[in-house]
Amino acid sequence: MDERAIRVRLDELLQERGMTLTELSHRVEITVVNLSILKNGHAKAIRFSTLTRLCEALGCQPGDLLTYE
Amino acid sequence: MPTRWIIRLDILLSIGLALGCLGALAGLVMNAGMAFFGTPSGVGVPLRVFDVPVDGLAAGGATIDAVSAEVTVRPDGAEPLQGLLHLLMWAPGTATGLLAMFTLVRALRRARSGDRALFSAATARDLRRLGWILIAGALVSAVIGMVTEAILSSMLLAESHPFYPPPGELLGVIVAGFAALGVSEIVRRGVALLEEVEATI
Repeated sequence: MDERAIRVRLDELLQERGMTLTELSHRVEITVVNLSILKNGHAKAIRFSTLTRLCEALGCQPGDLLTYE
Repeated sequence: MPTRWIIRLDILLSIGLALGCLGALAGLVMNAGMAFFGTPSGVGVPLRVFDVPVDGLAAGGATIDAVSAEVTVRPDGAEPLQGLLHLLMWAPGTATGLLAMFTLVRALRRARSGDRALFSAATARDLRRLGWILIAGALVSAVIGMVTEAILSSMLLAESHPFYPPPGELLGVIVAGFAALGVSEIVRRGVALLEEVEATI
């Protein structure tokens, strides 16, 4: 079975920017619960609008947020 | 909140299931009576007969071509073998019906706990089980019924046929079985889709 998957690097990006999940939650207007789902890799899909807001808030590219491992 | 019609349907099917079980029990008692004590008047083995004389039955301008009728044959005295064959004639169909009804009642009982319970993987599983029960039950009933009816006819009727086609209702049961399988697949895919949508951030 193929174990490779898309991983969300939210933890690393938050750490690099010294930002908390709650703070990001306020900036992107997504609940902490949903951000946690995304952070822990339990999300099955991500909307372009969510991705756009996350990239805006974190000042990064989608490629920085998502990696294929 | 479960809708009122589900509650009503559940109650109706539960009553039907209880009555069906009582009917099956009565049939078993009747069969045991036939096997060990003889058949009382008014009770017997229903058998199909063909080539019945129908002279004068058709109205003017019409002709009767194919004839089939059902007769109730009452064996004299205790007949264990005929009792067993009669049991095999009706029991598989009755068991299929009761099992299908039980599966439906169980699915509806679960669905009464809420809308999400109705549209769930458990409902899909129950519907798939119901579909296979109907299909397999109808096929088994058809085969056993055909064989036992032929044997009973040769024992109880002066003229019998080697082949008795299964009743047309069985085709309807098989179609209903496939329909249940289809609905089960729709619910299964719907649930998967719902899970995916809910896990989209």
